[in-house]
Amino acid sequence: MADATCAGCGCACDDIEATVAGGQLSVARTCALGDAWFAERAAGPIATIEGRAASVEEAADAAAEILRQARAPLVYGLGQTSCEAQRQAVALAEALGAIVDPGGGGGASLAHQAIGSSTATFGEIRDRAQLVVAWHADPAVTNPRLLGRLRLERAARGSRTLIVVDERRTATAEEADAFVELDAAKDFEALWALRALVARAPLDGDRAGEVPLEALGELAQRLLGAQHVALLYGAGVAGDELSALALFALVRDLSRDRHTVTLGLRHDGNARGAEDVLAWQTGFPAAVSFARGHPRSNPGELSAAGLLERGEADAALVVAADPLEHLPAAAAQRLRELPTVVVDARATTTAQAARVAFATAADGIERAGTVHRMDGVPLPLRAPLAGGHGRAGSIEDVLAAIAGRL
Amino acid sequence: MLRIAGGSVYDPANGIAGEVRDVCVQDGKIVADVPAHARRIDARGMVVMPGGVDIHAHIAGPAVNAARKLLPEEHRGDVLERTAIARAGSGGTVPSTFATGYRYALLGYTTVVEAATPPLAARHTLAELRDTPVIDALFLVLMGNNLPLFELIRSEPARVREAIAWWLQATGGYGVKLVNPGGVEMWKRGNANVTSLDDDGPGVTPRQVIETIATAVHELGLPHPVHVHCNNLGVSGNWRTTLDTLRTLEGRRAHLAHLQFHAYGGRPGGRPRSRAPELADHLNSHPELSADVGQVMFGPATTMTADAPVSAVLREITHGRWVNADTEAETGCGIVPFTYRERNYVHALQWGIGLELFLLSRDPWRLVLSTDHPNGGSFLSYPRLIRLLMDRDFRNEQIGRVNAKAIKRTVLLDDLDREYTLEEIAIITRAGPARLLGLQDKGHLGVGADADITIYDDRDDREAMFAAPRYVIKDGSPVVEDGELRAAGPGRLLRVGAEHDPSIEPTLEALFEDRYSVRFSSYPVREPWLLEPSRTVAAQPQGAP
Repeated sequence: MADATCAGCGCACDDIEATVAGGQLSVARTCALGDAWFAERAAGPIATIEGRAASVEEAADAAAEILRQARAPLVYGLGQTSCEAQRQAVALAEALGAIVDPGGGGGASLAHQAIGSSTATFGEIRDRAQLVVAWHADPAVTNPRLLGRLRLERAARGSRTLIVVDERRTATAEEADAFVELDAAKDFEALWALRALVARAPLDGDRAGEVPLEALGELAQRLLGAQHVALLYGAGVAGDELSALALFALVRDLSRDRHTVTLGLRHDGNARGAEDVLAWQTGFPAAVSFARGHPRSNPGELSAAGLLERGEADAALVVAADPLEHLPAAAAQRLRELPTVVVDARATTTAQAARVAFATAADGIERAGTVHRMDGVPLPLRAPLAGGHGRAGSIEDVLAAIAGRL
Repeated sequence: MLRIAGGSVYDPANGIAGEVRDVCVQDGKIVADVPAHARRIDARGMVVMPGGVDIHAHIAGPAVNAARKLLPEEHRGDVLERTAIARAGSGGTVPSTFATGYRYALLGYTTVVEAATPPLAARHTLAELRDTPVIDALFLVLMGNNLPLFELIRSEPARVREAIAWWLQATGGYGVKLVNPGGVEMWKRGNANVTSLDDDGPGVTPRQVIETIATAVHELGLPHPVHVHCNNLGVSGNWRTTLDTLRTLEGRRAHLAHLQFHAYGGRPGGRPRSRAPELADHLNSHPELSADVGQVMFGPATTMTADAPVSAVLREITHGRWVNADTEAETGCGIVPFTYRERNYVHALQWGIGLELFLLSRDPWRLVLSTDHPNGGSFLSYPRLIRLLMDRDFRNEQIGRVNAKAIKRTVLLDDLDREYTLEEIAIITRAGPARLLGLQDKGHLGVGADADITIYDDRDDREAMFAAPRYVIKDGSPVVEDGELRAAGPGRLLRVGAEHDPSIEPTLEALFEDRYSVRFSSYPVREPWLLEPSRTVAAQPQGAP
């Protein structure tokens, strides 16, 4: 039995017990997402060209040819592979003069650029936050072990308080001390009103039609009464610049008189790593174009969905992601029409539709590496199935092979 | 093989000051001679020095990266093109990793200390250093607000030494950094701080932390002594805390970071005054102590510190962007972009205090150059700082431009007409830092040293001279020629080798359980791709007293 780290979501639980018997891996302490993450690995040929099995060398030749021919290639994904592979992916994007975008979370990055942010690692929130507000965040579903790891389950949290603000009574709300119902489209308005309430600034009574002022007033009182506050936010806030800005501004206001931090929940196991690697290699955390020979970032202009919808990409390299399942329909449709290369350890809809697809060894199962937990803590991805049981080539290896052919 | 022929050589560690002689290189090292067919660089009329060594900068890791994410406008305005040998990147006060490596090399620096890594984030710092080309780098681990260590200091201080040795081995670190010991923990508990060395808010006093850890580092015989960022940074009157810290450290080797930020008189909350002369005197008379200056340079900077409560104060001054990031059991982090202005009393005073420290220092080996990059200014401002030290007329002209009330609070106008010599510059930018770091192969040009060499045109304008070295040699290979980057291979990690008693591990594991959210087994970095290529510098244990 060995330790393993699960990158099935942004929690990067590093206490997984992995056992290998007869070439089969079994894991304990995982949640349902983790079970799926350890189980779902690509079967079938190691590489395909237009659906036909191919050697890695043939496929790398074909991939390099597609990307070399392209005038405006898009590198997309990165959130479900190791930091080591992410470094290689950004290097490849640079060599191609491509645009690289991990997708998602852009709003929080823009809010950080505008006013900054206050964050903390799991241990700080677990041991110090007296009041935790989950704002449009449902960790019980998206990050199933998070409430346990932050010691926020009802039985474990003692006198600490958990409040959920969401559009419906979520699984997390069932665990909470209070629930505030709020339309998903009203995050900004509600957070802005909350800023006013916390500042004891007069509010126009008309706002009551838009946001639940009374419930927010109670929440403001709780925030003002706490000495240590943490706000968890999900993809909805992270993806919307104004909402993220309002949340970070609220945190900044609260910080003057009490310690206040945030934690952005991440679905992809190494979404944080993708942002970090891009930032250290280029200076920008998302939506970076190398088309001019140097990094340039403009999330509004250069985000993958927008580029695809406007028909501005003419080939795609998809790394450890399934954009056909996750992009807006119009963008996905355009992606289908492009010559696409997929490098992934898992079978995906995008891989199936790709012109060239590699089914690689899985990071954290067959290949060791590093993952950045969603709070930024770097952790080792182990390889319980390394050494003969699994596939040989990793995502990093395949990207290096393509880069070597340019 | 290489012969650098006919240059004026400044190699203070070997007593050479401007002598015209050849420097020979083979297999990455300085040698006594090379055959006639070796490549020859004609250095006549040029100045030859060891490669620069930066003893205190912030270049890699989670704090630096959070600052990068904060500064898109700086990166947009200062881009590096991809070339046949170099990766693309962006600059500003907090450059991308590749840009950091290239620009240090282009400045003639070949070794840099990353001065503040949370040990929990060692993997992140190491990965960034792998993407920071050319320069050799080492990092200091933050230990001044570490909860397991606090517990050991309370209960078993004699074992702190073993714990520190374990931490250094677990992270690949080189030395131990204390930042506002005790104060950062109080900030994370509830926006508080400590204000004196005897404040026991966190359950241990800063004095206990400083004494115990300085003793441990001394006994372990680490090549670099404890590296201290004192309590009360930036607070008027903090020179008393600094002096108290120095007295607490007395008899042990210690290095004080960015002394300028800790040299203020006046009353807390009131206008600062300069107390540089008093601190310079103390340093001059205590040979076991050293410091880097942390010079403030006018223009854009990014304040970036593990001393998070300081950043909260700066936020209320700038009303601009602010980052706070708490790392469990270990440290905090604060970031505030900042511009130092000539007409501002406080900024001009800070600038003046830095210059006072330089000009009043009697031992350049123990008071060395830094801007605490990017806190007091970018490392790219070192050439201007060197000109301020070497060129009295230039300095006086600058003094005439800045806030006059502030300058009156310094001794800069009191016949302080010293001009640094090239030999002294070579000491405060390479020989001194290398010696303080215990890097015996760096900072000099004696036979057997690393062939890290910088060659400058000898120009009257010292700023222009130091901004654009003609040649930079790293490990015997030219990386800069005619002021242009010619090669950009990987740098190496410099780490310390310190033995620990394995019985400390179960003790630490028990202390980890309740304080960290990662497994004890996940903590130590063992991945060769993060740690290599590296060189280990062995500690020389002093034994228990």
